[in-house]
Amino acid sequence: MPQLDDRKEHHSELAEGVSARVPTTDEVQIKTPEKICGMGHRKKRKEDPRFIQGKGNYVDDVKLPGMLYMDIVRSPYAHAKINSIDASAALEMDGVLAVITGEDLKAAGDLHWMPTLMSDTQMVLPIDKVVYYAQEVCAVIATSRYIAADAIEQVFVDYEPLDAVVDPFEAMKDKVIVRDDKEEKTNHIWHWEAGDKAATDSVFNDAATIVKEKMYIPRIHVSSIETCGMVANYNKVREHMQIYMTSQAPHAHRTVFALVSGIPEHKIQIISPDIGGGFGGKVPVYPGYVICAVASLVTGKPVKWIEDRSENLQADSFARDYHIEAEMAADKDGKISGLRVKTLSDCGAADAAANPSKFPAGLYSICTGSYDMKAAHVEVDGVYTTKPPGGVAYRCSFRVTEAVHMIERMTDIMAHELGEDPADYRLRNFIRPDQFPYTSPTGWEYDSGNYEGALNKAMDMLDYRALREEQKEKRAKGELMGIGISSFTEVVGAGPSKDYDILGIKMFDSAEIRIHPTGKAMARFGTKSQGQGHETTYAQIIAEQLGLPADDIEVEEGDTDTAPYGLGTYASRSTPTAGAAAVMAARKIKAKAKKIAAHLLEVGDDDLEWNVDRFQVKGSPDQAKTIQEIAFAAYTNHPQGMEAGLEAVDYYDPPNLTFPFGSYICVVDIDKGTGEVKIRRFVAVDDCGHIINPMIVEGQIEGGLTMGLAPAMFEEIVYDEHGQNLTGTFADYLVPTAVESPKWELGKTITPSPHHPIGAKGVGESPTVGAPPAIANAVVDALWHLGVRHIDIPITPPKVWKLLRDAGVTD
Amino acid sequence: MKLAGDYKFEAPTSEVWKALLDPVVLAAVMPGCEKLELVDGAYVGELNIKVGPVQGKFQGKVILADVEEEKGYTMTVDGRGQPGFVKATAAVKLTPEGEETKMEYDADAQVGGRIASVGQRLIDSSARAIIKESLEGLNANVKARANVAEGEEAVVIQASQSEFATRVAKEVAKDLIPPPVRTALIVLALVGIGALIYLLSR
Repeated sequence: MPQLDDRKEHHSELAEGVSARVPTTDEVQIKTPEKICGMGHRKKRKEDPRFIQGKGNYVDDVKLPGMLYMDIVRSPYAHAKINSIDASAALEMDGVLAVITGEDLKAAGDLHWMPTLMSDTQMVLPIDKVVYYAQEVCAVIATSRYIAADAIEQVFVDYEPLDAVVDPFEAMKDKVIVRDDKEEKTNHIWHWEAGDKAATDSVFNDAATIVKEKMYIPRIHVSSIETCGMVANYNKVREHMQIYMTSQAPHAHRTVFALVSGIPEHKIQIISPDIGGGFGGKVPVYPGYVICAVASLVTGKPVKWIEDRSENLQADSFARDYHIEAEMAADKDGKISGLRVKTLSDCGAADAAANPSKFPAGLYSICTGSYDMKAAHVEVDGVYTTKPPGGVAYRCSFRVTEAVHMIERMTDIMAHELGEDPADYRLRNFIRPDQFPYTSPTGWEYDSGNYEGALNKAMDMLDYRALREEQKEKRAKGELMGIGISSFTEVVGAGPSKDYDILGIKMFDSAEIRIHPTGKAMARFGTKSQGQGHETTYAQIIAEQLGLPADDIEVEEGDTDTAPYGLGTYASRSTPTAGAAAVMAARKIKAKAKKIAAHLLEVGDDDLEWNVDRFQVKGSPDQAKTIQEIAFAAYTNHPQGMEAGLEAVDYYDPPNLTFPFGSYICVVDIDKGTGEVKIRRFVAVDDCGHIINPMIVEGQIEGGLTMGLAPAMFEEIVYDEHGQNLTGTFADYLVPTAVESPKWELGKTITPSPHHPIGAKGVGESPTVGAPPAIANAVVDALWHLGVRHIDIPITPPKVWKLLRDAGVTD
Repeated sequence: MKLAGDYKFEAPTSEVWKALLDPVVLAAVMPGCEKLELVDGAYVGELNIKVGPVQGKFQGKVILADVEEEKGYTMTVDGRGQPGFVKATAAVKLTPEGEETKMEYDADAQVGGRIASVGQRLIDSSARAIIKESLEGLNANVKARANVAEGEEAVVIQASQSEFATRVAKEVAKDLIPPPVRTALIVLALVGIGALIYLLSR
């Protein structure tokens, strides 16, 4: 696999109308009656009865006759030579059938290495050295899960420890080379730039005020409830591989498996059953998957592999880990004029992120955010360290969380530096609604936006001015209270085929709708729900278009044998891509339905008009055929010369990305004695365009806000200087629970996307992206008068307490 | 991880020194030590270690260097096993104080693998507890040997594994749980046991 070349970001020109001024409203549109339950209805989730009754079907629920079990021996060193692997004691145990090593995979056809989704390579199992702690070293196949777990303790590996390199800045010095398999003996993987360097330098030369800050967005983990796993079932007679797998992108994974294993793609079926949370962690291909599939190939029996919690936390793809150095310039009026950012991306031992191919730093160049400025320049360098690989988009659209945290922190720092109120400062620096169509200094064409609308609404919801008064009074009394704002702009829905692909596969997505003779429908998609509620929202989209009750539409995803090809669900792309495909497929069906209705009513096509669930004759609404009558006729009485049946498929290539946005305000009180930060209020106003199901959107936002609270105050993967993971269980890796979560107060504005067929934008990730800087800004706001300019997340009581002690506030 | 401290043996330096080099005595006083032999100038053995939820067998090798008769040595420990690994160097110094002997130790240990990532928050206190219990055991042996009459064989005093584990656990608890809570927990445990006996006897 070729190494990623140095590159500079370019955006293809987009068609007119993909960025436009669009009016904002407050009310959710409802155009269908309750019984049809199209868009805007608060329909209860169709998938929930099986989940709340414990009748879901997850990979670990799959039990096949004669199934074997796999467990993995993992490295206790972050960097070590492997002198030998002695599996004899394990192999002598009753019930142990095989121990698979790197040498075995090599003999099976060089399967000991695999490509990552970023065109880098990653070891499946090592031959001579390990490059991160908890790396897969070999695997035991046994007749029960318990025997497999006991047997891995009987495999003796002789390691010769090598120096680890944990700090990416150290790694850039190339004293310890992580990947000596590469031709070039360097840890530097790629360099990437966006924006105009010369223009940015000139803006900085003319600046009246420049603020600088270094910040670290720590390495975190998605920690979904369900860990990763697989059941591989190779049928030697049919030469057919059936795979049940925790996959957010089953089709893409099928193609990767076909390319890596050499099994023809039509002989591979990947089934992604119910998934207990993905958040980006189930996009990459992990070594465990490949070994499990090979184990089934070799034994000819079904093999199950399910990670335990610690394996999941220690070895699976991490997220974030960006070291940022940012500078912001303002002109003599205090208006933001430019942004200059240098970032080091710690990739671990392989570049195994899941970004679109042309974007090694994801969509990080969205970092000018909601603010209008003259110029910006962004540089990112990727570097190997002896830590697990990853860099997944954890509930964010490819590095947008890092970008938003940086710009929202910098804007607050600038406002404080200039002595301005952070809300007023934002209001005078926002891209105004009348500036659309808008192109950002780094080349993004924002589809639509009304940033001041969202912020004003959030300020009204908690009476912002009164809170500032209260803060003044409290400060006079020596009490610590802070108000933090985050007015983020997201970029989701990758993406237009001109610029977006993963391993060369364009990032379209698909829908297929089949209407049965009795007017019931089956809809299949290339995406894969992991809890987002696709079975409900996709049904509502189709109900809106065709007038079929949402309850009459069965939505199915995740089986590559039946679903149309798609790139899967991550980066808030389901509604922008597959949701749009559902609309387009429904419109194809509607066009055919119109012809059938005309035939049945014996009128011309042009004499008909659509009314919720039927075609009626213009001026004579009694003369009508419902969609159900039309469906029946499509199989029983279709016009001669027309194909029978009523179905359509659509592969939707979005003309642009969508740009959801919002304004969050967080109010905190800080305990001077302990440094504990208490979130008193958190108001979140989101704008995700037209809303398909308000209840599901609210659920997504509440969950996302909690996942934004997590890295802001609790979560961080910590390594010691030898590369040992010190946060390998939930006792040390702190996931917030209901106890730690504040009451989330939600509000909304609706500014539809001009290019999406139903004006929707996607919402799953906005809250995770927007929440952390609101919390960080609130804490710094409470401490600014003590000389505190910045605190890296997670903001833990010891960090705050030390700052208070240094400021002489506590002892 | 740095581990430093001192300990006073109730025996003359010559006795302490002998015990410190005797694999039989060391094996008896080290927690979970199942085997310890002197092979080619290095002590080679097997150790069963439990830290928090992690438990498992370590194969260890201890090499002594800079040996100064009755004064001290530098010890290098290299232990590996399924739960992880331990690498440590320790300087041990003996100073006679009348009929007693003061030992000072200063160790730098690197612990890795599952034992570090899962038992991380218990490692420091476990290590201190294990050292303390080992030294107590060693002191008992040294005292016994010092009191043995000329020509008689000294009996090696060895605590059972469960006795040792209980004592280590107590030490760790002392380290981690503040005294008032500890009392409350003990009361709670007693009440629980009482209730269980009552229920079983009905």
